Amino acid sequence: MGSHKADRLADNLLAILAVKKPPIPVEQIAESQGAIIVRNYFSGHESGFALREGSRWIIGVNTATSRRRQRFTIAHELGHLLMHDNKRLITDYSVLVGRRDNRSSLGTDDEEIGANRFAAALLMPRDLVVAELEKELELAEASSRDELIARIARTFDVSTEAMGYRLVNLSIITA
Amino acid sequence: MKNQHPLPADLETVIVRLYQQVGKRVRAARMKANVTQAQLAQAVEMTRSSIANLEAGRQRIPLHLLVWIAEVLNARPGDLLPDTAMFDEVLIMPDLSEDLADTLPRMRDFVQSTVAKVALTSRKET
Repeated sequence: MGSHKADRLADNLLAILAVKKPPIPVEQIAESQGAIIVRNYFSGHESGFALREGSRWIIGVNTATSRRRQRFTIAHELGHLLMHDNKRLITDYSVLVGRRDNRSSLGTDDEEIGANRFAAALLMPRDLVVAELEKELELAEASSRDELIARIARTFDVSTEAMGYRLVNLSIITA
Repeated sequence: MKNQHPLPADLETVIVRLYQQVGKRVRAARMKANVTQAQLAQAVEMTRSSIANLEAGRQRIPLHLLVWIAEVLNARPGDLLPDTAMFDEVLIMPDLSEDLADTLPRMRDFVQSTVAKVALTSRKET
């Protein structure tokens, strides 16, 4: 996996802010970049949005999902704000079925992939994940693959699903 | 006296945000000093839950307590106060009609109700 703009951006932020251990303080990181995080309960698949208002950045987060998913949403929206400055507003859904019909407030596929990649790299930095995995394996060598993913997910305060994808993408586990 | 920035119409929103910012600064100063909520609570003769409420901005901190906490945490009281610029930074409800024009109604509601939580509908001109 080559170094993508999103990976470098996330790594730089973590280095500048001297974040050295999980869980990554994503909210503080977003705020350090000038974003205001606004939580709102809204039942449905609307997960969040990124809005530029003058020099201000607003990250909207739907609290109808789990806290861990909200952390991912914040990181994802921060990715949009840092990388995709062609749009004032980008809206995101947790489930997007039949809605890819050129709505201008939706990110393009490339933008969504980039924002997801940034979020994964920010919340689950490769080096920290590898270190944690080694520690876990030393402690409980016999634990199952699923248990291992769940434990590391807990340490990084991300969903088990997100950690599973991350470990596959880092070629640490196989899908 | 600086007077070119009239207070916003919805002063309460600004006040709520001010106490949240003070709370965040108290929390940051406490963590920098490597002090737990329980330890701080004991030092200033309060309960841990009061400190938690105060850090969340739910409880409005009295001035004497702010100074006391600053002393305990080896910080300056000024470090715990937000910048006066926060009054200039009040967000006025932006007109999002163009950006939301082709968005589904539910998403439109979500975005607007979310932004409304931090934005003021108008700003009183004097």
